[in-house]
Amino acid sequence: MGELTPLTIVAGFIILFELIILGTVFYLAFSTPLPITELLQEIKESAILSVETSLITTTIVLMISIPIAYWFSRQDLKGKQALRALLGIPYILSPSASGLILLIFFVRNPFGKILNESLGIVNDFNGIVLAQCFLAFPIALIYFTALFKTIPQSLEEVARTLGYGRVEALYRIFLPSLKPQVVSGALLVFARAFGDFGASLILGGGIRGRTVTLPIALYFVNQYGDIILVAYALSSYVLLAYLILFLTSILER
Amino acid sequence: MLTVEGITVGFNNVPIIEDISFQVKKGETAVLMGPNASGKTTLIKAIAGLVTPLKGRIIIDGNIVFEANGNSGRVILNTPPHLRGIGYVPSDYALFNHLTVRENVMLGLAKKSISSQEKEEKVKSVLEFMGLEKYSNMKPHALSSGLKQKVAIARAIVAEPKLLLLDEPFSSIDPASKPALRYELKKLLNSYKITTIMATHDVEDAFWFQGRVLVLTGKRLTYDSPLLSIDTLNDEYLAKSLGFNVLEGRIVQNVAPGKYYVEIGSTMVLARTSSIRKELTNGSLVNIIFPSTGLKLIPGCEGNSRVNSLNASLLDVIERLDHVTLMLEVDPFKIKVDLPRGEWENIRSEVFKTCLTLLLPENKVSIIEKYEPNGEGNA
Repeated sequence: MGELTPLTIVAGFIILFELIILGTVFYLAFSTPLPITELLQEIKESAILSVETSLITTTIVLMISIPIAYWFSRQDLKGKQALRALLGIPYILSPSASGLILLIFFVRNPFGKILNESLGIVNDFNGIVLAQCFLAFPIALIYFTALFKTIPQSLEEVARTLGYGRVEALYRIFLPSLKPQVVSGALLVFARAFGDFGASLILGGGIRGRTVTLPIALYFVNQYGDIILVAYALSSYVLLAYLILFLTSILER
Repeated sequence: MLTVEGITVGFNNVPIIEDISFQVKKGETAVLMGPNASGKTTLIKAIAGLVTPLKGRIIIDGNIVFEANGNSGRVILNTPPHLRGIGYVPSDYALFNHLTVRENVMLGLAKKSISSQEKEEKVKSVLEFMGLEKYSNMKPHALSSGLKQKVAIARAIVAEPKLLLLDEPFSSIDPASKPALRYELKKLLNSYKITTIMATHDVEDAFWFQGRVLVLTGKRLTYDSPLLSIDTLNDEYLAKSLGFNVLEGRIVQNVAPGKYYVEIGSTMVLARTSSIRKELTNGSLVNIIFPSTGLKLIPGCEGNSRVNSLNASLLDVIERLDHVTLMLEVDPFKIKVDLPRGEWENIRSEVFKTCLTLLLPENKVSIIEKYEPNGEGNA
């Protein structure tokens, strides 16, 4: 750990503070016998739904954003700023506003209606994934564009002289070489999806047993009024978050 | 082996290099010199197929790899880089830091249709030849610049290219390590017998890899000679790189075959044309060059009235181990004079009080062509 510098003291205080705050929640959840209710089962199901949808979202968003970001980072297009601003709108809007925009599209636009009827989006699992993708895509695009700009031109040129096309070089050479940064980017996307409340609630409908993700479940439990149950749900949430961060930092190595 | 014909490269209609033509024979090492931003890298990349010229033709080992119509600029043929039979080493070596040395070299064969056993053998033999086996499982960031350079060269030659393109291979090597690395590279190029083009801004490379010296200045090829010699030296950049002083003047009179009076400011200088074969007309703009050694410096302003004597003022004194370098101003030019310690001690007490006269021995002064910024020779 090294010597005691002002910085380590500050860091120590921050960690201590965080532990006390989180500890209070955990203490409340586990010091009192838990009332066995249906809600407890629903919290578990919500946690599974949250992880499931967020993983699907992360996969979809990375698949789409990485090639586009690479293309962005290598082009000097006219009007690029305008295009980037357009694609970045959901990044700035509140998630519920994004959810409402999507909802209006799927229930009012004729094309949106067809999509909704054939894919099952509004008030459905797919709706949650779509809402999360909509929110997370701009983050991935901004992050990966900035990341790919750091690839020196000379590496690309050498790859070309060795017979790698642009796309192949990206997937076979550059992504593996940037593995820790790609994992960090995936975590950003996952976090945005995993933490979303507004958009998922509006497009998914928050239907009990079907489209209630963990953040939505927390809201419902809180409405129900049992603080012990809230603390229990929060503890599961925090533990899950810690697990995800821990796994990510292992992957980043 | 390599023929470059009338290659012009430019972006947004602004040429970076213009109408470059030269040939390199099989097994020859061509040293491509020029100041920074003179287009050396652009020319190397054009040959590699990494930038598309506006016009011209490139032939590698009898195969046309690039051809564009001069007038319309329509590209008729543009072979992709990996099918040109070239090995390319950029100035930053461009090693892949997540791969080991062996894996980096293996990438040179990744797209070759030979068995993986053959690939392993080829990589092994190159690593052995270059003394890199003991580093084969290390990642590039743990290596010195010299070793990185070797790995990059190994990756470029493992597929046995017909033409090796090296862009400033020694620019990030510290001066103390350069001679040993130059020697090793030379040995490698000789034993692999690869035709090579090496871009550099260090004239030392031209001496080491003497085979053919090309100089790019002002977007054009201003020097193309099999070797560096005072008799072929007709390029201003090259002369300056070699430590010659360059002054601009005008031809006044032809006194004998190959001997001219050149007016520098208000002084006449008698100079010979060793590298220019054609007759020079009176009034034409030329450069005169002379070395920094073997000159005579006397206190007092006697210059300008006599032939080959120039008025000078002292700007700076650089004390060296065995001699002294003086920076002088011969209005409006700055020149460099190297004096032996003894001569310096004799005039030392007087040089700061008065102006000086610089005497140029007649046999030390040569006339070279003067290139205007538009690239046209005036001489």
